[in-house]
Amino acid sequence: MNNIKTTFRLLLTNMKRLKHYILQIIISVMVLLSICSLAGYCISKKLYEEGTAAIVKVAYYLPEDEDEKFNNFGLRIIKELDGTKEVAELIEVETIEEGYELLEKGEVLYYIIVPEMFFSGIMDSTNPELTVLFRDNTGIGSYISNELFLSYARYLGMAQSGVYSALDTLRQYDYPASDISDAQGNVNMTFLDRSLNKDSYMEKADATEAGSFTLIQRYLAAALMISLFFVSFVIMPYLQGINKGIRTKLYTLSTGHFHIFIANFLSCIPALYMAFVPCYVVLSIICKTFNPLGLITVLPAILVISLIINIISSICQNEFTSNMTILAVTLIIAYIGGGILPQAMLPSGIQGISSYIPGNYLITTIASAIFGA
Amino acid sequence: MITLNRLNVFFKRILYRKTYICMLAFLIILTTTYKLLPAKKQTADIKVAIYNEEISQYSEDMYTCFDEINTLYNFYPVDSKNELIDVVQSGKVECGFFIPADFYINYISGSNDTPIVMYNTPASTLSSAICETLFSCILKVCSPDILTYAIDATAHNQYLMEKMEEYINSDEIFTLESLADGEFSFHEETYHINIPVYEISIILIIFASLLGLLIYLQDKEKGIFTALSRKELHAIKLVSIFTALFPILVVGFVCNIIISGLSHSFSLLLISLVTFIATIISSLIIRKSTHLNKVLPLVMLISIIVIFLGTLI
Repeated sequence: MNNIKTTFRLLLTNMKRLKHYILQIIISVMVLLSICSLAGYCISKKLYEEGTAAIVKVAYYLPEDEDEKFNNFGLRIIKELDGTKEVAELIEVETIEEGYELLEKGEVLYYIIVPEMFFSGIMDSTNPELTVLFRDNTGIGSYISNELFLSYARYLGMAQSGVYSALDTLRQYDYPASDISDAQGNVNMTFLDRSLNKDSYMEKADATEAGSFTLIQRYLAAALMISLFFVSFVIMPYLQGINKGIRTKLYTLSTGHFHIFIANFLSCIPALYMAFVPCYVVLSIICKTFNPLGLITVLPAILVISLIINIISSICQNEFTSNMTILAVTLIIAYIGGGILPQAMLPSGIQGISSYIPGNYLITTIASAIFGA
Repeated sequence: MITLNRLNVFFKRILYRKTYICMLAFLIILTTTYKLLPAKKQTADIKVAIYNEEISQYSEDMYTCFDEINTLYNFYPVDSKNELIDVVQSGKVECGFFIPADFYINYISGSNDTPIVMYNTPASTLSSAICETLFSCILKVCSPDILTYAIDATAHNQYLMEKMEEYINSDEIFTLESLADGEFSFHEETYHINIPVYEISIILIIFASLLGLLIYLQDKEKGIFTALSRKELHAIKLVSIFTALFPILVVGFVCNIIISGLSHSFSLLLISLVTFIATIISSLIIRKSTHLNKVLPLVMLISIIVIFLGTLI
């Protein structure tokens, strides 16, 4: 009973002492949060540097024949496709010789010579051969552009198969000419839609924004976690303030290390909570989120942080060692928990142990508290 | 002679500190690990992850199509949407596709109720080109059904589909032969796993320098140097900082030479000099060990952020 009383009195004394640290805690946590958030923001912006694919230049020659209008229409469609824009630059040449010159000079990688009556040939299944000349077919660029053109050819082949099959079937079953014509148009349009109108059947999403929290939200939560850990730099004298004289006195009252640890642990919780609240308010305003329940749901995370800080401060003999140990431990926890690099980017060995380290749990809990689940 | 004696004493003192021994050992272990680790193969394999929410004949046929067309891209299935997002975020794949349940049925009928979701990052450069390969295969596996949908002739669906299969595999339709048959290798170079020994050396140099100052301040507060003049006190301070900085600089210097030759050696010397001067200047402001104790973690944190962020940027 005496033990509990002394521990309780120790706790009360600690709470009274805490009053003197309030301003220091708030100022330091805001400074730390600013530094860590800025670092997190910079990392999130630089982590996925915008890349550019190697553009392959392709020259083509179109003959001046009756199909010129259709050929140009087809080319316009191909040029407008995202895949083409991403990988290839199409250059039209006026004469066949001009294309050869460009190829020889190395200004283009491919040279496509479209034969006469190409479009009509596709429609009547004579399929005139395209002549494709290349300068180098060993580079990754030529492989990528080759794959792209093969895909386009496959679209065309599928549409052709559809039209031919429809014509054969309808003719086989003696459909009227008008029905056959309608069906041909219908099949053409349907295949054109399914192959070229991909945007209707696909959405693009930024993976960095996907998941429970966006990349920047995770970095902000990690910054807050690190800042809360580093608040211990300010309160370390408060945690280690029970000097030898007081300890001896406490021992005579049957109060051991464990009771001091409990009193420190419990009094560290309000200190961390006091540090959390202004950060919560600032981040909520910046991110335009409001999750009042977060002020309660964050408590388990604060308990864990408080426990870690107190274990370190109990083990380490002096303030300097405690501070440096907390610095190292926090950075390790943040790294393994995906607070410095996204967890998916960590080596598989580290990912394996991450479930045993509280980093990811702390970041997720803090993020849920601020941004909502 | 006095200076030499002081150097000797201070060197012995710093090298007996557990923290300092750990720092030196850390650098040596890091360098040894780097040297012992095998070089990894650099791969130009372009991976694309796919998560099919619906397992149907269409999805199976789609993978068969990838094999048939011998695609450049390595399409591989993942087990969940979260795994898909993870692999895209990690940069292990160029992009990822989430194919929801009922996608194929809706695609055939031209409905966009359940679109495919393509996950990429700003670092993805080929997602649109990869998309064409994916859709060309989806179109291929769905084409018989698309045809029967486009033509209102239910009674002849079987015949239509048979004809379609026949044409797809015939020489009568337009095809393009693969042109890229050169000897491009997807496994080109080798590289060593990157261990930031240079950055860690800088951080340890900064820390060691401040540790030297801290030891000096603690000694001064204990009254060890009471008998010394102001000038001698200043000399002691310099010796204390220098002796704390020098061993870590030597070890860091050697480790960096082992790893990257002389490329970082000059900058490491320069940074050490700057750190030494900066510590002396800061000693004019920080006069108590308790103050330095509070500032030290913050300085270290800022150093770590600036150095690693500088490398990243």
